[in-house]
Amino acid sequence: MKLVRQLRKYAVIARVSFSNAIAYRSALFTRFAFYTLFIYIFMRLWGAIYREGGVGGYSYVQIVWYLIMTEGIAFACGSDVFGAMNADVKSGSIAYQLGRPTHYVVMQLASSLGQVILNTMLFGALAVTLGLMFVGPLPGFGIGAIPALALSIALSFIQNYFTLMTLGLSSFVIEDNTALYLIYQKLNFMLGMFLPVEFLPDALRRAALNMPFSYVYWAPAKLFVGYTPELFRQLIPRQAGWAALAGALAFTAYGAGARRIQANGG
Amino acid sequence: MPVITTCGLTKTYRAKVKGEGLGASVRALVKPQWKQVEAVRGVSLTIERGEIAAFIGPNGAGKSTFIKMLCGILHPSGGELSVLGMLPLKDRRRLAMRIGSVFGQKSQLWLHLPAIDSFTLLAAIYEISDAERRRRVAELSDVFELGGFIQTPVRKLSLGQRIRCEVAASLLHDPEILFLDEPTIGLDVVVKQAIRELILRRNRERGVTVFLTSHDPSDIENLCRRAIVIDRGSLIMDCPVERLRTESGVESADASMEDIIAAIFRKGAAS
Repeated sequence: MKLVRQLRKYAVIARVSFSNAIAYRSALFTRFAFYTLFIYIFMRLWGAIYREGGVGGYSYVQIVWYLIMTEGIAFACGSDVFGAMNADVKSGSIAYQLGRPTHYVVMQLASSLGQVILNTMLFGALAVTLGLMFVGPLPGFGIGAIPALALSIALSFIQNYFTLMTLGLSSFVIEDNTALYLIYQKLNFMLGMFLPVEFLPDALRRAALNMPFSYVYWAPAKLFVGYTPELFRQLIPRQAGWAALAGALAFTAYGAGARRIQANGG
Repeated sequence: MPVITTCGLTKTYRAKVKGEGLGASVRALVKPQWKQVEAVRGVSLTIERGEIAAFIGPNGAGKSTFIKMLCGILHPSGGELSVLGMLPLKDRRRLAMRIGSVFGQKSQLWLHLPAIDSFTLLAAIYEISDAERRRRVAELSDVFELGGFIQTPVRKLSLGQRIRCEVAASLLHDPEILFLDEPTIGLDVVVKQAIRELILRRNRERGVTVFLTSHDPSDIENLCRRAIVIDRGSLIMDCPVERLRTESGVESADASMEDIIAAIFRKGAAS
């Protein structure tokens, strides 16, 4: 019963955040425009590269769908949780939220979830439309792969979300943690978001597969463009492992930080 | 029956200090210097159920720090405290269900949504059933006269309307103690008066204990029966509001509450 009450609490938070996200209609349309422009530019870029022949085992159609997927995840599931955590810790607002009968980390997650669900639905529709319009259907993709893909995207969101949250909470101990955020963003960009891991030199590829960054964008996009049950069994446990580690880090960082809170009052 | 008891409550924290200029910045990078700040020094007091107490003091006196310790937000460095028979830090979430707070400049409402949506959210957070939420929102909306703007996005409300929604939001879960940290800051005279009347009514009808910090002498004069004065972290006065004049040493019969409080602060600063 207590669990049901707790779940209901966070479900309502997610629902209100969903309504809040709808209130930002103009911001949403701007992001749509950027997403479309971004896909168009990189599609043309890859078009020029692919005139010379195939790259890294991906066909041109696959690489465009890969790009649509990684950028779609970034636009839909990307969260401002780093900025929000940073601001809450630095302004001391986090202290006020401790005075509520909720867990701060879970509350933040629930309040981001509403926006992510809305974005995923809208960007999902836009992504499919753009892909079909630009390069046509993705060869070999069947509806049966959708649940596996949904799970992979959910794990990608969780891993990214909790990593960003941990980076944001690092402001409990590091005065200016923007550098950490920028490094994380760049690693994500180079190790999956912009380039599939297969395009990297051997040594770097091996390293990338053993680091968490590629599992945010590369894993779900790879699963999307080249789905096989074997690939699913290979990627999902690794994604789940990194997501669990990111979650554990965020809860630990919060627990340690909450003990350090020393708001000055006034 | 006491609802708040503190005994020798103390809060000290470390603050970084850095001299002026580039050299000092480099030195601070290599070897940071810290100083101990005593925000609250051994404060002992008791608040009875149903009291309306003013907690006053100059800026930086330690008022908000004290309230945050009572709410379980800050760790005390020393002393003992009990709120509604609980240890705030240990029972923070359980205590949160029974206390309400308004921190004047920190909104608990979602800016882009109507206040009614924030009420729904807060009702869920405080585990209030849908039927009960509807009943309480209707009651608060009636008492606080929110009907005209409860469905308007909070960002479009005037400050007075927003604060009315804030106070109503803090009462939604029917708290036994209400902590108000400068609730009338920035409001015009008419709205201030309306807020005070609402707080008094809640205290009268529901027996809510009110613990208020304010820099506005009228808040203290019109709302509170007891004044607790703190300066540089120490309790310097605790008496009924009507005795403040005598305790302050102000002799003029025409002196306003503002003059009286200023005299008390000056006395505190000189001691």
